[in-house]
Amino acid sequence: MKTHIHVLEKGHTQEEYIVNDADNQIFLLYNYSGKLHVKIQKEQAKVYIFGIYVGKGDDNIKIKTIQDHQIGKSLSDLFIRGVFFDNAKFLYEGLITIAKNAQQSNAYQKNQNLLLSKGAFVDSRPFLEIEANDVRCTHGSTTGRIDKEQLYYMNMRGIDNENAQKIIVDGFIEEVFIKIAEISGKSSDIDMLRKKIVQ
Amino acid sequence: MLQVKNLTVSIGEKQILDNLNFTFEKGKVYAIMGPNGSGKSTLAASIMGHPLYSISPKSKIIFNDVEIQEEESYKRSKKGIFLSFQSPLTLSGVNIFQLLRVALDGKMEPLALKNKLKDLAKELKIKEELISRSLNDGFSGGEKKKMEVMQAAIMEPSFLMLDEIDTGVDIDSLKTIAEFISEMKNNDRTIVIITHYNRILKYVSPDEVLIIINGKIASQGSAELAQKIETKGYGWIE
Amino acid sequence: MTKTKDSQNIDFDYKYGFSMPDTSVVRIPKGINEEVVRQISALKNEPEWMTDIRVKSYQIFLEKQMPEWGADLSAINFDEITYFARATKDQSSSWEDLPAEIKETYDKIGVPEAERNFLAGVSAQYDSEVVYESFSKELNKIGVIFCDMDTALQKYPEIVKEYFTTLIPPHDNKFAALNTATWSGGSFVYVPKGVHVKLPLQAYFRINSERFGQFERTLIIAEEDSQVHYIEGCTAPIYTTDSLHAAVVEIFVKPRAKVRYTTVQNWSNNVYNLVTKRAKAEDHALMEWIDCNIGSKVTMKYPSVYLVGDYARGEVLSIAYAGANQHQDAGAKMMHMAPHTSSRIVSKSISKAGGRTSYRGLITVTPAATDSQVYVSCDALLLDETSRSDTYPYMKIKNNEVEVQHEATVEKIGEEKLFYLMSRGIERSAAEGMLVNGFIEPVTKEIPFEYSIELNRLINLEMAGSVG
Repeated sequence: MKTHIHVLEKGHTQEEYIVNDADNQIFLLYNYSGKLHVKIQKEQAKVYIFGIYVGKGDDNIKIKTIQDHQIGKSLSDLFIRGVFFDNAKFLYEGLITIAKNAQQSNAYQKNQNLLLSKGAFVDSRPFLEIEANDVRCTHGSTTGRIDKEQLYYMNMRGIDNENAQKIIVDGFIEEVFIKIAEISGKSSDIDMLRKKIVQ
Repeated sequence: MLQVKNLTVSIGEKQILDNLNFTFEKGKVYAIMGPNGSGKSTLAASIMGHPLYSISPKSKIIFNDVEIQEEESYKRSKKGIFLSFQSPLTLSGVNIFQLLRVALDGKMEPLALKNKLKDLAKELKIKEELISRSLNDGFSGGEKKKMEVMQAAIMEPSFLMLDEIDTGVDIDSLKTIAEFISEMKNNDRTIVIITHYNRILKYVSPDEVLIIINGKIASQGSAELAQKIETKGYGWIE
Repeated sequence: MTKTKDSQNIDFDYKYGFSMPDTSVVRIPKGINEEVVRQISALKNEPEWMTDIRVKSYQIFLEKQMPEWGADLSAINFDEITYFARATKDQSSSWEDLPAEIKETYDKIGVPEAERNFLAGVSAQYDSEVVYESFSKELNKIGVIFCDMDTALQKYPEIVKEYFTTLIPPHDNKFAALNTATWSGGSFVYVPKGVHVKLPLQAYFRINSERFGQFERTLIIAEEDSQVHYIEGCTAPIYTTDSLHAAVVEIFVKPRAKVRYTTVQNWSNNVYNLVTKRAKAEDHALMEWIDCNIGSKVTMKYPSVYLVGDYARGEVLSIAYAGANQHQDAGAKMMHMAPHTSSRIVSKSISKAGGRTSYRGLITVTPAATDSQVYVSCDALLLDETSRSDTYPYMKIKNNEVEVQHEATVEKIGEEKLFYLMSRGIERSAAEGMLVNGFIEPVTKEIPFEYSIELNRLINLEMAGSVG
């Protein structure tokens, strides 16, 4: 089975993708503002959407994803993590829509955000529109600050808060890459992106 | 008591049981063993009428002289067939008391049922509060299996199948469950124990042992056959 | 008791030219305009400030647009609605006029005879009036006021004036404006400082002639350290020819007070049920909304809590069931405006036979809400191929020192679980009923016993397909 990788960064223009084969489709979003509408039209299709967002200064990021299951026995799995500093604003709207005849589809969506400054702002809208009943569909969204327990643990190992935060944030983002690797295996595109993101 | 004739069972395209013929007699204890994927659980599930398993047109399942292969599982249960699941599911918001009340359909007074459950919980050495919790929600492996056995004790089936009642259960719990099952033996009841191990059979001695390999009955024998499997595995058969 | 009610009915003003029929039913012709609004106020003998509020609200109603989101409200015709009617004990409807399904459901759920007559509108009086009388004597002793809004306006105008429309102004939305202009009936509850009302206050205890009014207005004030539980509605289907119900509920929970408001709604399938419900929770206060929506053709209802005080808590537990031709568009709103506030929303919805359930929620965490927590869980069960479920949660988070968590699941009843139950001798639809009741159990366990029993039976009936 083949794996196709699409990297979407700032300035990327293609918004619509039609999936009509049963291979793995991986979409990698890095600070991509705009829309991503994935139309799934083939049984056994597997679509993975990964996103990493780092907002700084006065960044204003707006992203809308649509996991559009038009046919049954398809899978989509979205995992987006964001870290926001200064006065960054993040607006995420993620829609999963499953058509009436798209029975036995599975769709998942997870968005997790860390807010690291007073001025950061997140507006999260995970939407579901489900018209087929023999499906499994879950989504989750968590937004908050760094777990104090984790910080204390690091303090007790002699690490100050600033460095502890860096370690935790790096780990937060690294986990996305670990998940990507589970699906994609080795890939030079992904390695390049990883180097870029790890400041 | 229960007879399977020409039983051929498939899941979707895949055939699992191949033309099985066997008669289970009243009052006896049977052990069914065999490697993983051989069809042991499938045999139990198709006797119970699991909708995912399709049986071939020639297959017959005859219970007390009546053909039941077309009947829905709840009807088979009401006739006295019981299956203790290998992986009992969690039922959110439904506890064992509520489940049995509906299953018994008025045959037992609620208070009597509650008291019986409490007694059984004591006998099986599980916390009484498990009776009022959502069935199997957060229960340990042993607790889940004990819940299955409690249901069997209350529903008093004449044909009792226990699918891997010993898997995921610690040694002490195994002894408790096994002794409990042993006490359920009587002349009107058939007990079928599906297992990989000889351990439980040391407490509940089988009258007959069946070995299923690749969907067929590869060997039949007495309790000694089970011991032979324990020491030699399945490779020597055929 | 009857005598008091009659004298109230005779009390109105002739000068507007409406005739007084012998059957002592006062009915204003269909449609709405400023005259009608003034007429309603006059018939109730209201103080001028209330008449003014009504008239101003009517203007706002005219200006406001219909909502562009939510369920399909295009069939509502404001000109075809009667905005005020008051009947006395000579009811025109009879048991025979009632649709067969409703009668059958009463039978199957086990609604007692007296209750049936009341619910069916066959009798405007319910024997619980006697219960009501003695209950209210007990309440009076501890200083609790529990009566209908019309009476409250007459007897306690100062309190009403202090709170009325302060939480839900007519500008809020078109239906709040309509309600503020034409409201009639509804409950008024006032609990003084430190008082814990032990028995739940039931809406149908407060008898007034607008039995289940279309435009009920409810006001609940719980002073510091007080506690009260209010219940409205019932599981038995309520038959009404009124097609629009636009109610408004305003609740004020003062510091360290606790209010729980439970609604079990089962309007008949021709009703548009559009409700605006909001509570304000101050320091260390707790507001709990328990909302069960089973009936109506369309329901749009989003109980909300404004968490304005430190450590205030808000909870919404809701169940929505949509069968054929029903759309339940419900959810919750939480506004975190102070530090250390927390909210929890648990929504369970079930769609069957082409029904549609939509969860709509809005969580706003303002910059002032440091150290706040939010947890939202919405689960939906789709029971067959023709049903539909949507989830539209909005989360606006403007403070970083918070934890906001939302999760949702949509699925069908597991075949394995059905098989498990059937293997215990339970037949398919009973097994489905059991699993559905288990699914909603986290919410039903918070509802008083008598209701939850009826609710469970109703669900079982729906599963068996023997109801509507």
